[in-house]
Amino acid sequence: MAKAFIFSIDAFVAFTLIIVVLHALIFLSAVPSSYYGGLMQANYLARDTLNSLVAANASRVLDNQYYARMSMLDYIVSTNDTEAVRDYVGANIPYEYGYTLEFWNSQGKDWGVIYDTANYRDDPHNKLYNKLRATSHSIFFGYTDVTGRRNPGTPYCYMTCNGDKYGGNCPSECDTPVSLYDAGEAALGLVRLSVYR
Amino acid sequence: MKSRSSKGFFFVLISFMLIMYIFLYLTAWINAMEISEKTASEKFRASSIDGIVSQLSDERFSNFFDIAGYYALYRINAHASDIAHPLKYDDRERLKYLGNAFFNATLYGGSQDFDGTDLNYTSAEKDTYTFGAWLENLNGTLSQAGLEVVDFEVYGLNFTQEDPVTFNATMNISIYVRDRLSTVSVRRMFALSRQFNVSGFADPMIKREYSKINSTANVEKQIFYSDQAPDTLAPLWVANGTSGHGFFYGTMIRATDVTSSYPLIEMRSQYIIVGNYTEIDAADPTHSRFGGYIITNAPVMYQDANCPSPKSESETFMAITYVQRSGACVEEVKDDAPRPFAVIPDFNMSAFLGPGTGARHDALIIANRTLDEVRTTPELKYDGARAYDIEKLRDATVCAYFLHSPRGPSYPQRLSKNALTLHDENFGMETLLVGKWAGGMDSPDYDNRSRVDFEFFQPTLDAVKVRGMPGCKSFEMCSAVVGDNAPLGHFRMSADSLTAYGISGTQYIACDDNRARCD
Repeated sequence: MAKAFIFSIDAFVAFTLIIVVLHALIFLSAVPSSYYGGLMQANYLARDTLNSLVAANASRVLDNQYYARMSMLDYIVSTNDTEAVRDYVGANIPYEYGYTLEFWNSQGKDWGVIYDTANYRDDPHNKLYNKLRATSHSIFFGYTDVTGRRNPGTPYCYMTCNGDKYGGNCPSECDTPVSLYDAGEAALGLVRLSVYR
Repeated sequence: MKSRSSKGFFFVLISFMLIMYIFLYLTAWINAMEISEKTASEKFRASSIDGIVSQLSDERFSNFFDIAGYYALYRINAHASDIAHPLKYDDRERLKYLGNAFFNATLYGGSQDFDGTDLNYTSAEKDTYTFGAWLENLNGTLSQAGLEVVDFEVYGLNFTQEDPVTFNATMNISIYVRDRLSTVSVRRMFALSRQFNVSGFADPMIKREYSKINSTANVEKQIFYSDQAPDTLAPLWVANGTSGHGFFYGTMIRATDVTSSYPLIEMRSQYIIVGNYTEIDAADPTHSRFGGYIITNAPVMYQDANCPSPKSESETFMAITYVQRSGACVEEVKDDAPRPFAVIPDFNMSAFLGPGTGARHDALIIANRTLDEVRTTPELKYDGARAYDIEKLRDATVCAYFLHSPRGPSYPQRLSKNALTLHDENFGMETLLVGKWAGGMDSPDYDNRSRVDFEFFQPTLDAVKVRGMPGCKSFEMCSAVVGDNAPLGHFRMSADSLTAYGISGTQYIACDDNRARCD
């Protein structure tokens, strides 16, 4: 009787051991891969890069008063300057990440790619999407022409007015005046920066 | 046997307990990892939400308000410039309709504050320049994080005027954003305040009123405000002359600076040559190539041996001499000054500065007598002459400035249909009109009108020509019929305007002063 009892206990322990091993194998295989750390980093990169573009004044960054009314984001969206994208977006993102900068025009109602590192083999960020991607958005509202709203002074030339600073000859006051005021062309849309690797 | 069985049993029991411990440990570890993953995903979500909610900043709203607000004013200005739909106006609340139109256009893309057709943005304009479109795009970014705008309220709208061309607009915005799971919500309130300046806009009153004169013409006289008052532009009486005739306005040039090539032969008729008689005679022996002459030396008086009294004069224009003819002393005049001249001893050209830096000197000389009168009675040349600096008035005219004037309509009044009869003591403006379109070749019937803008369009006002101003620099120009010889017509002002601009008393230069006539 005692032997039977011990035999049973033995069998039960063996059975339990096998179950525990199987459970352990199942649990270990079911643990999700932790990408959230990497996703957080990518998200921070995307978000902070966009915020810095919005906050930066283009005239100061480019040292050109011609862009006095524009942020760097306005400048990039309105000019599609790929060099500026590399210099001021790519510089903030480590080489192990690739990135895509897109613009959604509220009038055109579609996304257009401004820059995608996957299309430029000479770009150190030339990567293919593999594991993770984080995206940050920013509303874009600004002038799409680099001059923006232009309010020139009087175009005429006399003692206290110097209208020929606009590159042309001084118009004659004899002729019917034509307004040189430029309301500027603005656009409203979204800018999306995706950082991936 | 019994002890071996006990050992075996305890071995199995301890093994079982160890195995259970390992099992529980693994379970706890796995659960901890799952909780950690959930926490990280919440943090990630919160980080994404934070990044998107950062869109809702004072600066973003303010930048939008700036661009959308200027565009609204620009469209209101253009719409009110059309004779079919000027902006309404209420003299008891002067900014009522402009403020309403401004906010309605900025928020909704349209306004019903006009007489006639309402202002309505195109769909492209609504999609870009209105708060409705902005809100839709904001929702587009928020939806990426599962958020949406639940409530958006605009209140506390206020529109005031700071100076003739500057307006302040303020409003408060309350926005409530919530995620679809109702676990995260953000409420933000913004107080927006921006200044808007209408400098550079085409004046709506001038454009609208001129279209009644000529429906095909498009006159876009831009508002360039100068805070000068009209009376600060009064002519300056600089120098007094002892003799002369006629009147002339032009740029002065020293006789000693004249060469064979400077100034160009064809341009000399627009200059006033300045120097003593000898210098002028050397530069221009005919005394007729320049437009006007200022002789800086007094005549040299001498006694003719045969006619010692009165004394004869030399070294001057139209010199009067006394010579003996047939035993009697007779007066003779050397008719050598067909062009206007003034004898102004010790004349200082540098005193004519105008509002500029002094690099250029222009003058208006007005003698009391005409050439014909002096030819008939030579002594009349001694009735004298004066030289004026009128550059401040000319500068304001040529540069097309809008001046601060309590007589004139303010910007909100200029948007309305009765602008010509309105005025604002604090924010009124006026400007001077010059051009072929303003009483010149394109509208000769209006040549007799005052060139002050709100007077030009009113049929009841008659006005007098003003010497030295466009179209009246010389007798030839001032008396010419409007056409190729007088393409700009003749600058005029009403009696009220002459007073307002300080053209009175010793500063009076208008043509009805009984001096050298204009026509």
